[in-house]
Amino acid sequence: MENEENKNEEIKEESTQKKEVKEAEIVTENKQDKKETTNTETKGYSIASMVLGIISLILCCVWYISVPASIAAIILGVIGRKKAGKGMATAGLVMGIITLVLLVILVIIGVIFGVTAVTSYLQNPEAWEEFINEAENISENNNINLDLYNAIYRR
Amino acid sequence: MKKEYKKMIIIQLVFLIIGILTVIIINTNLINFIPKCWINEKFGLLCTSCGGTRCVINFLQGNFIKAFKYHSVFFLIIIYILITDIVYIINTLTNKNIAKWLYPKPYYLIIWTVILAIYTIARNILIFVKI
Repeated sequence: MENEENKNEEIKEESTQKKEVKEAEIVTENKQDKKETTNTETKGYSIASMVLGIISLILCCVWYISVPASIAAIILGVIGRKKAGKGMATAGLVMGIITLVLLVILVIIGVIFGVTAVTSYLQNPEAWEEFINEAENISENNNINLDLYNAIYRR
Repeated sequence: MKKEYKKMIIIQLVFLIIGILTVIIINTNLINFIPKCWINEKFGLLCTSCGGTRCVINFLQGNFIKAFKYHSVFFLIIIYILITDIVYIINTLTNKNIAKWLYPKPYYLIIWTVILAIYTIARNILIFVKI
């Protein structure tokens, strides 16, 4: 009888120990799952920053896309750098900053060096034809590299 | 199927879709819906991607010299993507590690961005300075 009671106690102890081990395993699995989900969630900021940086750089022409995209890339890059995916966040941040700086530089160059005078002249189609016909005189007066200009502007 | 092969097939499909869309846009009226460069219209200057469409069109038509002249950096990026893709396919199929340094990394993007910025400023200066 005593042996049977001892055996029953041993069985009970084993079963409680097994339960504790299983519970501990479940707890560690949950912690790992949480870590994985947090890593994939926070990497999203870095990926979004990089993608927006690429879009803002390529679509620099279209200011209503490039300016908001570059600002968003900068903000998401700053957030992403504090979390996972530091390299991608840095790339997005740098691209956003360079796009904004380039836009500002180009606008300043265009305004300061009076290029608007040339483009307003060229937007008139008759003046455009005269410009092409009198190419040599105009290129000498305005220091324009006409071959390069024609290669780029004429389709 | 191995995970690597699946990944390779997905990447090739993405490139194929992009290529097909590019050919469709170029050969139809959809190209007219590409927005014009406001910097070019207002100031006569060239932004980072001015000439990019013409570069791609000439590249697809086989006029590589013209494509390079229209936008040198985009031309080099296209060549880089093609070479990296070929190296990636070879490495995946033969299970080797040839020229893995070509594979894109985040700091490559920064390098390309800086090159593009310098190129943009340089070609704007070149237009208005007689060489």
